[in-house]
Amino acid sequence: MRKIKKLNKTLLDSINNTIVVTKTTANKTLFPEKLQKLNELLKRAKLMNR
Amino acid sequence: MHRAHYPFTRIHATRYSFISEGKTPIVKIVEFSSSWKEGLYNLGFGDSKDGIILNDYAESNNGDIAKVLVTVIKIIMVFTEEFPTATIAFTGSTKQRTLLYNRILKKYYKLFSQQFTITGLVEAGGAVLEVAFDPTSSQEYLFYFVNRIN
Repeated sequence: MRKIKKLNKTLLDSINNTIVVTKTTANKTLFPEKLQKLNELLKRAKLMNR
Repeated sequence: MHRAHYPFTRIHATRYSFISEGKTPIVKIVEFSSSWKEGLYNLGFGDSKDGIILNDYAESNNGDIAKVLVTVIKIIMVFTEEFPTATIAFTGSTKQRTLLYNRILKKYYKLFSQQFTITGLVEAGGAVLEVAFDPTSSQEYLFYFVNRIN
């Protein structure tokens, strides 16, 4: 029971921390490297019409 | 896609999280970031550790890769239900991971292609072209694109 309580607390802390971080970074991407890579490829890519 | 997935939470308009309950609980983040091309979003996916460091290179080896990927696919389905004209772009953080995505797309192509049009970016003679994803080819793709079929 103590182990489960500890696990639940760890999970809750982790979720709360994540929510705090994601709120403060809401307007910024969390994965800038991949986005930059995509944007660079898009500059010279010939895309299909959608 | 009727396989079991983890429950997920929408943190804000373009960001979702869920907990991978493999060997250890790991908070995962899925984010759709706008690229400079309107309607085209990059899919970011990675671990959140201590709520601070987000690492999309992490090899968590948590023993639940299939369930994690099914959850990500489910999130893509939910996101594209809301934004049906959105194109979702994704690639692996490492070559190994891109190959893993390629294997999964090939394996489940029949299923995916009922719901999504799948294309990819390839290098061809110094140019970058978007071509239809071919599950029978050994072509290497720089990025994969999926569009919901309405």
